[in-house]
Amino acid sequence: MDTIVEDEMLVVQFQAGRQHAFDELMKRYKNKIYAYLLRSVRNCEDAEELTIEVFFKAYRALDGWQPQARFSTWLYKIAHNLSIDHHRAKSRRQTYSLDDEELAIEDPVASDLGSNPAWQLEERDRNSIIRAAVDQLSPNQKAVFMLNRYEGMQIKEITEVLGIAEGTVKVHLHRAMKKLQILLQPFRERDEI
Amino acid sequence: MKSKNRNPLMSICKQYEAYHIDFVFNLLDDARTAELNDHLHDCPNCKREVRSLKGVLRLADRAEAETPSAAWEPHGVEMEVYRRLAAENEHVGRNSLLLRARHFLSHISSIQAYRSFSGGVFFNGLRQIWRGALTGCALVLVLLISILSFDGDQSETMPVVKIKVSPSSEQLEQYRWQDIHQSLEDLLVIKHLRNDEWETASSARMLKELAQRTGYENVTISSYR
Repeated sequence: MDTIVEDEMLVVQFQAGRQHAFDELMKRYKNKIYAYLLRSVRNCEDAEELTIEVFFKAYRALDGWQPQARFSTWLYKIAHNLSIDHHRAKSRRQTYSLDDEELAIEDPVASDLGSNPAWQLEERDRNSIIRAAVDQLSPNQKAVFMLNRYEGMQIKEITEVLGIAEGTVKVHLHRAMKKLQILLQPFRERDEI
Repeated sequence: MKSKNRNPLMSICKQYEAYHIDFVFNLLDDARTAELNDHLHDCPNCKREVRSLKGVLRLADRAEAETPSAAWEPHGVEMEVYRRLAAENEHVGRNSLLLRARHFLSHISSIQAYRSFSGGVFFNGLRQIWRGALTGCALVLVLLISILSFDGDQSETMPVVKIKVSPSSEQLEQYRWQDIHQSLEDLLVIKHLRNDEWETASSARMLKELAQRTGYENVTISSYR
């Protein structure tokens, strides 16, 4: 609760012309926003670039910001929209690109476990498989799952970030879990879940 | 297992199936949670299903938790944000100059059009051509003056674009100094604790770039090259 008040106070201070207030907000949220974006785009450079863009946009819009939602929610909303734009641009680039180098990289997938149950996974590979499974979710399913699981957001807050109804958020969450259960089925067969 | 799915017990479980995911995400109210807990006590199928869902979450959490914490920290975000803001302010400044000139031009043109319209009934021929030519010259002159005196008074009708050049630049400078101090500290650590010559030289080069036009530039380069 204190953080909410403090965030809003910092925004008011910024609106009154105190530059350091924005500095404090950046310090407070840059790691969280970066972590969210990194999970979303899975590339350090892109995540960093998008984090910069989030704060750049926030700075420009903060003069007219009204406390209708928490400041952090607003920031995540900017981050989410930018990540969606990024994914769209990336898929467009991949469609028209003749360079398939990226696609040539072979990461382990969960089905590999099914083909060889005795295969001893290194922790690094196991994590890659799990992250790849999360990446196979639809953009909304992934966003809902990540916001709830890793950012600790309640359903209500997620509706504000994504701009969708509460019921829709729950549907995405249910579908995400069902899909993950299927994708991670080989782990179940190995009695790891 | 498949035959079990068809028995009446599993059809009862269908009632609870929708709650399994809400349950593992703690989205159920207290009454429903207690009800499902009671059910899980008696139903091995649902219990297995809930355990599987919890397992999925545990795997997902573990995959993220084992990423080194340093990997979640971006570098130089603040400085880059302020650098872009400063660059944009410069751009806005240039745009506002053009905007003002265009606005002024249209303002003068509209006055001229009004005068031509109201006076057209009485004046014609050579007199009007002369007048038009004179107004055109005056217009060009005024436009030039307007561009040259960019920082002058602004008319009430003209759009005012507030430019926050100074705070961004100050902040940028502040971050630059923070970076210089940080790089200097890093350099000292590399030089004296790690004693790595190549890395020391590389860090010194980085610091030289960062500390251009400051006293640090000379100090660091002479000491560490």
